[in-house]
Amino acid sequence: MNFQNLGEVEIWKLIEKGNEHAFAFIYQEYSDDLFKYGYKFTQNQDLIEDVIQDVYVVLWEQRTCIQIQRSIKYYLFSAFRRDLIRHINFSYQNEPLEEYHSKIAWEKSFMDILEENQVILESKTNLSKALEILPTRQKEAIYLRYIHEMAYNEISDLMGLQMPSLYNLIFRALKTLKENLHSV
Amino acid sequence: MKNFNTVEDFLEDRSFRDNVLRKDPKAGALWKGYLENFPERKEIYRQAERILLELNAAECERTEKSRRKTYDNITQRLGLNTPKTTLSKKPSKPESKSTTRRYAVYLSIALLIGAALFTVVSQNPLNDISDTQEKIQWVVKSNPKGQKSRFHLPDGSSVVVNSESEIRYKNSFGKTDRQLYLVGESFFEVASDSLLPFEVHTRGLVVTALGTAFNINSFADQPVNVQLAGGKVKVQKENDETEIFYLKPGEEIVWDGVEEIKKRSFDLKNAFLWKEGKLRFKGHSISEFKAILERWYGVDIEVVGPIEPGLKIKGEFDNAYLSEVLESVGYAYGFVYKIDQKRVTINFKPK
Repeated sequence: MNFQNLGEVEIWKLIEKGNEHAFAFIYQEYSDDLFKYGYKFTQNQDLIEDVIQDVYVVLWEQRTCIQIQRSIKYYLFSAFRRDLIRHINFSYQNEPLEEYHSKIAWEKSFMDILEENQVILESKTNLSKALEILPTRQKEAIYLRYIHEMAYNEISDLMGLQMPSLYNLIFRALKTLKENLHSV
Repeated sequence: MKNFNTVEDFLEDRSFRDNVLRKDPKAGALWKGYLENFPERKEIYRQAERILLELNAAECERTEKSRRKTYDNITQRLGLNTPKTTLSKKPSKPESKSTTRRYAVYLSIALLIGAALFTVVSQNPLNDISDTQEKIQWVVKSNPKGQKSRFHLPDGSSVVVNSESEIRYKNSFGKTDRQLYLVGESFFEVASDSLLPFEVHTRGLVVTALGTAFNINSFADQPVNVQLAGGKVKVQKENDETEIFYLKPGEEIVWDGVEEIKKRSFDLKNAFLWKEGKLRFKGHSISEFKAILERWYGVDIEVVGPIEPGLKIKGEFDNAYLSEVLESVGYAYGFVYKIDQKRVTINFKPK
């Protein structure tokens, strides 16, 4: 038996019972994914590492109360996303989380953050350039769908979007990318 | 193969992603063949491939040092003491199979203790009943002698339970686990669910399946027998990770509970006949014959008269009445019989 072959439920049960090896396993299994995901939002690596740290600390401390609804990965992604956004954009810090998703105009605020952080967009090809200037929500949606292979309903919950809006985001993202492919 | 007309069609396809992102050899062969057959789609294929690769390109590689540092911070904050050996860099996906497997072995050692504890806790249904907290309830489906029935389980699996057999499971079955306990014999057709392994516990064995069909014969008077009809199952002793058997369709394991577990193949065509109402004797002794009939028809049988030593009974019956079976076998092997309600007497004639 090894963790790779274990079902998520079994791994979570082990964690609930305080198995530190299972905890180490989900760190090494998912923390790199979180890092890459976080890098889509901010280039501040120390901040990403701090948020990863917080997410895992909370997961362990709260392990007996946490309900894993979909998957451990989904839980981590959604907790990580929430914390990271909160850290990036302090002005939203005091808002209740439920209202948060619906209120925030993400695409706009993300561009502000980019400017604040003085991120330089250097690009080698039209495609990577297009990808970089793609509105974050579009980029995030196709990234979650095609790289992390999440289901549409998971992504819509994670990003706090209605399904039609999600389809629309993905459609528009791919449209932009395809147009930039042709202009090479 | 379905139609791939747009970039989206490719991106949405799992085997396409397996090929591009993970260099999966099987998917690779599939797509190579596809492009040879449909050269006109090559352009769209390349576009989808470029988008996917670009999307996946790490703008910044996370360093081993920061991965470790964050982990150390976590364990320090939590006061944990996890050995560092369990934590190493995740192998990048396209790495060779053997490396990945070796890697998996390290992890398995770490898990052993935890897993064993977990099994002990959940192993004995009776314990769970005695400390019944508010929610745990057991569902029991059982058949008396002479009766067989098919049940549908909450997860969409189905099970045919033989006579004098019983399955039991908690009301959490299908929600947080798929564990059930078997006494006697049952045939399982397991609904696929990659998150919840389907586990059958019986007489010291654990049979684990993910979407498959198999039979377990665990009647107390004979060795435990697990036969696989389709898919794949894993068999191991309770609380024992040292010996794990994987069965392919047509393979079975037999265990008498004491000696080594034996794995061998069996004849798929003539297996699981019991669930179709077919009774088959393939050289059974008279005492086995008696036990099988008692269980099948729900009767008590008394055997009298001189029995030829080494008598082996053969025969096949399709949904037959007990009288038909006894008539036919009696004619071939030289006995007369009497059926009186639930009591049957078999009388071997002196030669």
